Amino acid sequence: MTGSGDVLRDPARLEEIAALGLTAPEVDAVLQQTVDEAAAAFNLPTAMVSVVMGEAQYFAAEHGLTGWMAETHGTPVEWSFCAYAVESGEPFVVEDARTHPRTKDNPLVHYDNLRCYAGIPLVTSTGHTLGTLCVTGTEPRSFTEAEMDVLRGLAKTAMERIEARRKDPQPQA
Amino acid sequence: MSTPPHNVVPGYALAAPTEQDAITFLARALGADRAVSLWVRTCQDAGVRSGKLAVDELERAALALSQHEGVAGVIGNSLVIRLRTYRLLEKTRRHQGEGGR
Repeated sequence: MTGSGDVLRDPARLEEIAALGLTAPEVDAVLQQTVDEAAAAFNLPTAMVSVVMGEAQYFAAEHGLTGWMAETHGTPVEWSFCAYAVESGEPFVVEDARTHPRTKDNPLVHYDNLRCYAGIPLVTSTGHTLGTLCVTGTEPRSFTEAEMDVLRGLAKTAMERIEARRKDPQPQA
Repeated sequence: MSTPPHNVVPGYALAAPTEQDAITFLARALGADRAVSLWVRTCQDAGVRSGKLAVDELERAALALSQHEGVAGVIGNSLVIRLRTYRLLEKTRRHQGEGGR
């Protein structure tokens, strides 16, 4: 993360995250299915619905995480690739994290072998970007426009499920 | 090359979260006065004494904060993730050190 953090720490955005129950420890079945499908569609080991808060990101659903991140279900926000997508409101793609100017010094790249990334912002009906649906891998990789369309479609599914929490904030079993 | 402070995970450059971090995070969203009073009350709820908390005591307070509604709860969740990340990475580093690496 290189921005000022104003977007990430916007109290109205954080209120939206709270109102939608996105940090609940129970994993929503629809979000879980979405990340499972994303990992399979891209043939990548890891996919996540990442909720980017002011000081940390939380994985509301994940496929394939191992090691310490599987236990913490998140990371400090300064290591979050997803934070770039939240700050810009645009998809963020990294084909090789070891050479990308925004990620080459990130400890997740050097110590946890994060190498490629594609994330689509999850934007609510009220205009707040909550986080991303993202896929990651341990080898350099490019992402075609057709693949990004697939990820956009899955992000739309995730966002529809998240919006449904306004009426029923409990995760769907 | 300088040696990092003992409470910073080498490589990750992650410092041990502190009580002051918690108050700073809350103050950004709620204002300084409300942040301090909420933090003191949260520590009381968690059964720890605000002032100079050890990491495990801070985690208990952060968990109590995460139970709050609204922005305070979200900040509590952030703090819990930062604390658990620090604790796990520090534990790994310690084990590697004991292994002679």
